[in-house]
Amino acid sequence: MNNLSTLLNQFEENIKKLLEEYLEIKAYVSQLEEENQKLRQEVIKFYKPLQEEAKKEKKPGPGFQNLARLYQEGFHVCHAHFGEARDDEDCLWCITFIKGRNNERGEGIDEEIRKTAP
Amino acid sequence: MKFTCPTSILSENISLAQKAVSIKSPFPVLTGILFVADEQNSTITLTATDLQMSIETSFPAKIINGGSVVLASKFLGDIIKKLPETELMFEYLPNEGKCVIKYGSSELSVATYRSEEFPKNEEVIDGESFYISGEEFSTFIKQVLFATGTDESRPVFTGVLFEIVGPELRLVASDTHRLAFRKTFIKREDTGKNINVIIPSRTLHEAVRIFGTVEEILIKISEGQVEFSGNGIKLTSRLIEGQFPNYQQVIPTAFKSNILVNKKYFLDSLERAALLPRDKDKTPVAKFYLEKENMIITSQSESGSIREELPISLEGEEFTVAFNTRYLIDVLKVLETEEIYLSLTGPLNPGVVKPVNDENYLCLVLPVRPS
Repeated sequence: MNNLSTLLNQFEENIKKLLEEYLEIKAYVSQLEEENQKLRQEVIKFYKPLQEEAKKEKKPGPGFQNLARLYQEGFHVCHAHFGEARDDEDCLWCITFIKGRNNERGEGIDEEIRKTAP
Repeated sequence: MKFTCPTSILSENISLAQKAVSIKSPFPVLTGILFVADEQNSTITLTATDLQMSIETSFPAKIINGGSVVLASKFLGDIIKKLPETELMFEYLPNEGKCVIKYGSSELSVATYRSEEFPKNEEVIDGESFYISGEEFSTFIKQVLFATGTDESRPVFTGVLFEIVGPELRLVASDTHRLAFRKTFIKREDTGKNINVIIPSRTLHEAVRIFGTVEEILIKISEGQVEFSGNGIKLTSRLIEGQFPNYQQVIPTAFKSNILVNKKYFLDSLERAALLPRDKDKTPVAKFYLEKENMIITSQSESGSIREELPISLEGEEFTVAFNTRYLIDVLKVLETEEIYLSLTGPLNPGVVKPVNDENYLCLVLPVRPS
C-alpha cells in the first residue's frame, strides 16, 4: 500500500514537473509568435507602399525591384502570403506578380486554354 | 440491439466507415463506429466521424431488436477481417457494456460507448446540389488532386477549389509551384447562384475511393459543408475557410514555344531521369533541350547521368529549361491522351501541359532555376 502511495506521489511530482516545462515552452512559443508577428508587420510596413506603388506603375520601377529583391531573399510578395517566408521553389503567384503579368481582365479561362494549343 | 448479417457485408461496411474514425481523438467515443439498427426498415447504419469528415453507410440485415451503440473500431475492424464467412449474430448487452458477436459455436466481445455521446450528423440543408457520374468525378478529381499542397499553414492550398458558374464546374488545385485546372459540365438546376468553395484533399481522396464506381453521385454544398451521396453511402465534410487566390491571373496567355510529344515515351523518359535526383537536396531535376524535331532530356547526380532523345514537333523558339521531373510525372500519369502539348514562355516562366483534343484541362508547372 505504502509502495503504491509512493508511486502515486512520484507520479504526481512528475506531472507537476511536466506541467512546469509545458508552461515554460508555452511562454516561449508565445514570445516567438509575438516576435514573428512584429517582424512580419515591419516587413509589410516597409514593402507594402512599394507594392502599391508598383501596382500603379506600368513600367517596372524601384518598387518592383525592391519586391523582386524581397522575393529573392526568401519572402512571398503575392497578395495571398505577402511577407511570409517561402520555401526554395518559386511561387506561381509571386512570379506572376513580379513579372507584371497580372491578368485582371476577368476573361473566361476558355480563351486562355485555347491559346496554349499550338 | 440484436441483429444478424453476413461477415463479408459487415466487413465491407466497417472498412468504409473506418476511414472517418478519429485515431487520436481526446474523445474516446470518436474512436468508435456508431451502429444503428432500424427494425422498421431492416437496415443497419454505420457512422464514423472525426468532426471534420463523417461517413455514413447502410446495409440490409435481419433485425431482432432495434437500438444503437458505439463499438470500438480498431479491434472490430481488425477482427472482422479474420472471421469466417458466416451469418454473424450481434448482441449489445448494455448492463455489461459490451457487444457480443457470435459466429458458429464461437463468440467474441467488443467494448462499447454510449450512442448518446456520439455527435449528431448534421444534414446539409438549403445547399446547392448537382449530379455527376462516379467515373467522371473520379477521373476529374484525380486530375487535380495531385497538385494540392500539404502545408497546413496555408490551408486554402490543401484543398481543391470547386467553382461553379451556371452548368460549368471548374476544379482548381495548387501547391503554389504548380496548378491543375479541369472544367466540366454538370446537371444542375439553374438557381443563378455561383459557388466558390474549397474542399479538403483528404475528403476528396475518400470520395474518389468510395464513389469512383458509383453510377451517379449527388453533391450538396452549403455554408461550410459538403455532402457526397450515392449507393447508400453518405460522406459529409467541413469546407476549408478562406479565399482561393485568383488563379486565372497566373495562367500564361502567350508562349514562345509549343511542343507536341508522345505522352508514354515522355513519361518513361522522365521516370528514368527521376532516378538521378539532384545531390544537394534530392530534388529530381532534369534539363530539357528543345530542338525543332527533338527534345534532349538530361539528368545527373553523383550516382550517374542519363541523356535521352525524344522525337517532338516544336513550333517556336529552341531553348533550354529545367523542371522538377516529379511535377511532370504527376500530371502525365493522370492524362489519358496519347499525345500532349507542352507550352513554354521561357526558362523561368510556368510551362503548361495540356492533353491533345481536350480544351478543358491544363496543368501549370514552374521550371527550376538554373543553379
